[in-house]
Amino acid sequence: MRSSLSTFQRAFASAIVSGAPSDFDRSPGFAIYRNTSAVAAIEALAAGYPATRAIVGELDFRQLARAYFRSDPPATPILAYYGEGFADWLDWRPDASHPSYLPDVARIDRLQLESHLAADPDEVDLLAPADISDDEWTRVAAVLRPAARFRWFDRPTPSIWLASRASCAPDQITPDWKPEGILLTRPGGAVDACVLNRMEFELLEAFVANETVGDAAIAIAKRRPSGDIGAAFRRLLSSGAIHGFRRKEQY
Amino acid sequence: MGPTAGIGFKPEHIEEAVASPAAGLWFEVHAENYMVGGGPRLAMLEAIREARPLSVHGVGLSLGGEERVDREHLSRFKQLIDRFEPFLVSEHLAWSRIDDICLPDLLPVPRTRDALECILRNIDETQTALGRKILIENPSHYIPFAEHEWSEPDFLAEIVRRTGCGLLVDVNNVYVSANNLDYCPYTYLDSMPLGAIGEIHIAGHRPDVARGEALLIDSHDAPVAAGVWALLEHLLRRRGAAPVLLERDGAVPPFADLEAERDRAANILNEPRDYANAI
Repeated sequence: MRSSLSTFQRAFASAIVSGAPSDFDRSPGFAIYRNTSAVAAIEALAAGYPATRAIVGELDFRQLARAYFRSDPPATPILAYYGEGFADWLDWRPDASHPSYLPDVARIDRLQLESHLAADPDEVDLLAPADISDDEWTRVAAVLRPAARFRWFDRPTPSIWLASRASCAPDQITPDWKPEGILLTRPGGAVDACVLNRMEFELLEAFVANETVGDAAIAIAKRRPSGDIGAAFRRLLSSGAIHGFRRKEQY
Repeated sequence: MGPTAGIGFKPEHIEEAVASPAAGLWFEVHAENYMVGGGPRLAMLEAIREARPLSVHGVGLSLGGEERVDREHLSRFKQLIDRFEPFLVSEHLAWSRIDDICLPDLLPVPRTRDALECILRNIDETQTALGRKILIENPSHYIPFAEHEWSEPDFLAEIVRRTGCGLLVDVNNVYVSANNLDYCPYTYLDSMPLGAIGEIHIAGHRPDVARGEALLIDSHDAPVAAGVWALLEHLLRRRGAAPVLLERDGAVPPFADLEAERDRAANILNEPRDYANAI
């Protein structure tokens, strides 16, 4: 008998998600259920993807979001997290009327959302740069804040995203067409974002891989002799992405 | 002080909400909006909780689902309850999850023996995990089901009897459902197990664009309608005072407007009334 309940619930959910006519439509009120679910999902996606929305426009975004809901309805009741696969979904559904960098803009929107919702840092005893002597940096690892997110792109999508965040119209965005990285952090209440050069990005990657600051800096400086590793490190320090430092023997 | 009136908290009202001098004011939040790792949302909830009593209202446990309550979600729910220590915890006589899909709505439960078994199991698991009693809310209805074996008040009474849970009566939902499915909202309220009612919700609704007043939508985007105020007064006369919560989720007005609407509910709660019929 239990299966009759699951059969009903599966059919009801399927009719809501597909949007196709079903037996439930014999009751005019069924449209309320269908609409409420779709609208709530669309609004959640719109809240999580503001730059994507700004670039394609409200109407186009709602159409995309509705199609995404039909294809990938929420898998969690926590709607703030809805849309994890939205950027990948945009990748395999290219639309000639949208810029080719749109999926990467969506990826950065997602990083911003993750940063916004991430845990606050633990209150643990960490070292500040002033606590570390010059010869100690090869024994010290950086601890990133839980809200730190970064990624490298083969196009200037970070600059495009930042311009969109600053309310620039899409046709006013004219970045240098070169690869860039982005860093999103939450040192205070709001999410801060900045463009990364390759050296800064590689330093962050090394920190996540638990390399010591000194070892990472030496290796990256050797690979990129024209860069300024000191400046890269100082910029990451001032970004708020680094919560503090730990001596390796503490691990 | 007896039971008082609260407001569904909206983040845009954080400053006025914390600073409000209103006597007896409390706030309610949807649990799922605060099941996040950290950051400004939880900081805001900390500020609200520090200033006022808090009620936590779940919308995603899918207690009316055939599937068991999702353990991970229940665990997050418990973490929130343990951290913020609300004076009320509530959920719905509804479902939203099947297979890997979680629809963001409160979907209707056919009031059958099968469904009752699932709901009893899910409420029991939830109350056991939380270590406390929860209140179950009557949802709004838009379509009739021939399969129903109980009226909703009788079904809720059976759930209360067998799980020890309490009830959250949303009088706007009663008004909307009675209109849409053509029954008397007063008879419905009079059939409720009054002693189990631990909270009352009031909210606004609007007519469906295509079908007009024949199909009302529980939209929470308008002031409370006259007919809903009348149901509230009727229920309070029958039941006696219980915490009343004003919900508003769309076309959210300034905090002062919500406060004025909430004060009307507070004044009704404070009216001396003949409790001859009250529990």
